[in-house]
Amino acid sequence: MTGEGLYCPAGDFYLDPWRPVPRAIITHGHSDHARAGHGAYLTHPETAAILRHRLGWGADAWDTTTTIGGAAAYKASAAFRKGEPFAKRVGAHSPERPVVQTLGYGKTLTINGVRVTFYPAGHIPGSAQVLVEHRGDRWVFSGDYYCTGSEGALQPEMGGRFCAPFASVPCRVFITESTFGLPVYRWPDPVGEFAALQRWWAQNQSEGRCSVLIGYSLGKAQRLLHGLDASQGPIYGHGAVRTMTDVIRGLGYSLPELLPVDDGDWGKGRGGERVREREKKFATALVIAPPGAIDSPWMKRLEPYSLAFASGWMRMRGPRRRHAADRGFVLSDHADWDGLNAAVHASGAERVLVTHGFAEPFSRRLREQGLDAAPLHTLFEGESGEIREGREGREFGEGREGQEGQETRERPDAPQPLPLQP
Amino acid sequence: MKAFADLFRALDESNKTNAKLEALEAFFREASEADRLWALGLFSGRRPKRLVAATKLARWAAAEAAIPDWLFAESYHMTGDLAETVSLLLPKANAPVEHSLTDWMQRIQGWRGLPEILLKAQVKEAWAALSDDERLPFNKLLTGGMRLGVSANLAFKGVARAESMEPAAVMNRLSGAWHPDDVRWADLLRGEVPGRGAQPFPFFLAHALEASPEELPGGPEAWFAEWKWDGIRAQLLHRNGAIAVWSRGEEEVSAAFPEFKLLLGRLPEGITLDGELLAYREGEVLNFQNLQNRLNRKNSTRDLLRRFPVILMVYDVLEWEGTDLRTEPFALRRQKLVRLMSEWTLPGVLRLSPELPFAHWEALRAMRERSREERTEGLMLKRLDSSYGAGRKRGDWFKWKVDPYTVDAVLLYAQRGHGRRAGLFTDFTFGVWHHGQLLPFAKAYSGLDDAEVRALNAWIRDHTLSRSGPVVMLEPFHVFELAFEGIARSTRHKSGIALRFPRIHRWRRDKLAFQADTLDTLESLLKSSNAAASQGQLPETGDLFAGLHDAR
Repeated sequence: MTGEGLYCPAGDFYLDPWRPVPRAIITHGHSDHARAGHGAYLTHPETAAILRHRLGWGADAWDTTTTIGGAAAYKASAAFRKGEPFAKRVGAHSPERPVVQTLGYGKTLTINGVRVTFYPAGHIPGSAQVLVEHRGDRWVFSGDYYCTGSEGALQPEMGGRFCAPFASVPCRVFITESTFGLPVYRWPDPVGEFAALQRWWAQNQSEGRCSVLIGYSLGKAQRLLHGLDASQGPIYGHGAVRTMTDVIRGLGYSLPELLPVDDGDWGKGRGGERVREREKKFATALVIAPPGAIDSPWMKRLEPYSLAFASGWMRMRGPRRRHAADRGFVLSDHADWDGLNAAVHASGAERVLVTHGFAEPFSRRLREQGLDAAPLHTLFEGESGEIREGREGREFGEGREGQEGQETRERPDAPQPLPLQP
Repeated sequence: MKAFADLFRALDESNKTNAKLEALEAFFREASEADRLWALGLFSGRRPKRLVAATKLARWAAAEAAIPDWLFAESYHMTGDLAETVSLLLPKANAPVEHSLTDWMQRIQGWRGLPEILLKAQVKEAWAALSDDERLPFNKLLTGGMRLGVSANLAFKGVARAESMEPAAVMNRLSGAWHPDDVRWADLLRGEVPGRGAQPFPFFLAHALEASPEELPGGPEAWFAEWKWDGIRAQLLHRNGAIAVWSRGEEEVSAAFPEFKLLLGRLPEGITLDGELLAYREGEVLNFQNLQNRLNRKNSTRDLLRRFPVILMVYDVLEWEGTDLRTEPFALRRQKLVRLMSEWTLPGVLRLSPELPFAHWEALRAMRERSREERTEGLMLKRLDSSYGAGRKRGDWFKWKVDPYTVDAVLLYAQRGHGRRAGLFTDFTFGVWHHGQLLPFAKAYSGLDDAEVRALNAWIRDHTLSRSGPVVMLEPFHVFELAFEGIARSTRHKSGIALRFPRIHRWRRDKLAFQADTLDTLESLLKSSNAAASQGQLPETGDLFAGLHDAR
């Protein structure tokens, strides 16, 4: 662990670092894991497509011929470390136009003698767990993942399949997230939650009210769209949700149509006629919007509406009431307590390092079960950037998309032993 | 209990009064008569007393969930509600069996007094029979913490709608003493319940005066002023040859205050007086804490009666010679009250709340400045032509409270809160400087808005020095202005002082920790706030590092 993030000295690369580094392996596209400014990126092809959109990479950022461990990138990183302009040394590449290489699930790349393999994490499209092998030792970094457990057995999917389901990878050291690492976080049957969501929508339709459903625009929004029965009525999307959905659709995911809320046909006066027309337009509609849209003028247009959140935090009454939600649906793209436990045990790991979330209690529980477990301090936020109050001004991590470069409020971390030292 | 669990959830989830009212109406329309009675009983504070201690319930639930006690405690700190934590942790219900609310209530009543081992077996069996949604209200019944997120008034309105009756009529008939075991729904609504002789009227409540009194309609001559007494609101009834005292929570407290039995035979029959219970000695009102020593007692020893004498400071008469006077104008009721108090030779346990005559608002404003010297909370303003309403109606009665005391203190410790802000740090401990060190002296839970709570929580994440159970110790940095209503000497606090109703008034971002107040500031407030404060002690506000405790 360094101030930049999780570091593998043998391979000389970082995993989801939060400060600019020469070489970064990125598990998935959420902004607390994938930041701008690295010299070279290694990531799943779907995540690369998401990052290309999110970080505003130009077409010339693509350089799949350059191996991440290759000479060009190495030179680039050395130059970058010395603070010399990146572009000077390698021409086309700079932090704005980085080296990007992709790696599919189950595929292996050797970097400085260290073997790196990606496995699906089930969290969002493109999300990967990273297996790091060196001299016969096996480490897995989970990133964020979704699975749940039932009677000790791992359940990798949420109802119907959306993205590639979580795969358990045997290893000696497992670095796991713990966003929902307390036993009060156990997900109800997602089929039942989707049914309840559908009933809430129908109820709103019968009362002539718009249904506004809040979910993070990358991952959650598409998972909702995937699980909803679109035959019930028109589904609209906030601008950020629509563009991200287009990106995901471009990856081959088939998702129902998302209509634009803003069709340029309003705001030209607040006349009664226009208001009535607008109300009629949204009276039977469901609108998916990111948390940042709450209380915005944009939302005003949807009045009258009922407001619901889809998030693991909705498991408890406190957050439901705090967000003044009319309804909360317990739909998360993170593993619940049972899922975390099932994943750890299925990995067969003897050492478990627990990152963001409830790292202390979860690792203590694992120690009680005879595992060598310890918390590991990171700056990842899990689902917290979405709903839960966390870092200042980031309660609703949304609305900042495309401004990644500004999200660098960091704190110095105490030096810790390098966990990836094989 | 499914219908009741659905109602509980609907009331809990919605923050819109209308939606709550609709849910109530639907419940009272569709539920069985027995279930309606029980539900209404719960809404109007007739919840069963705690059957299982919090720590016991926690242990049983942890065992059921196969987790250690410390993990239960961690979960509890995040959830902020014991009954909810238990509900979330129990293994999923496999085959719930539906029983009505009435069934459950009768069972639960039958469990009282069972030895622990049998009680535990009953509770475990019940958990297995209840669906996931029903467990929360059930656990709330066990812990005695059943609160339904709506006032009894709103419940009465729901009943009124379901029964197509006037809300005021419903409220009149449903206040006072009845128990779901002893009455029938229809009888209760018709007002035909035997033994309803000694019930109070619904209390009329005042609103805080937000603007200046100059903006009140009618000018000074339309208003009556008196002190706002700092005691316990109560009605005293003399009917059917018995004296009864009821507190504002519609709880009969006659047994705790036997001195009012002196009034038998000396107060006319068919009378209801409205006033304030106060600890009072030799013409002087004593601190509120003296009164607290008399509360919640089944019988009071002679020593208690002697040390903490109590009177009723009377300010209204609601019933006279068996006639309901509430629709008469206040001026007339006041006239009758003055006559009663002067014509009848009454023992000292009744005193008339004196009128504060004033010719113009400026004079009254000057009077308000003296509130603390008079040991009152400020002034009451009552419109002379106002009737005695029910509940809180705007425009007739106002309380014009005196400004609170304030002190600038440093935030020292934080603990996660409950209810709407469960999981967030909202319970704070503050300190003042004393000999170069920060001395903890007060806890406060409220006063910050959501944005401030968020900002402070973000700061806490990065500035925690150490952790002890649920409590985190923070870098002494932020200064808050605390407001409080009273200050007293306390031997139970390290600082030697205890505050009444401390809350956060303002986040002093303009001040640094070294600029906060000192213990001397508080000491001088204590001196000026009167010597009578030294009698009795304020109750302990709770151990700083207490683990499990019931949600407030």
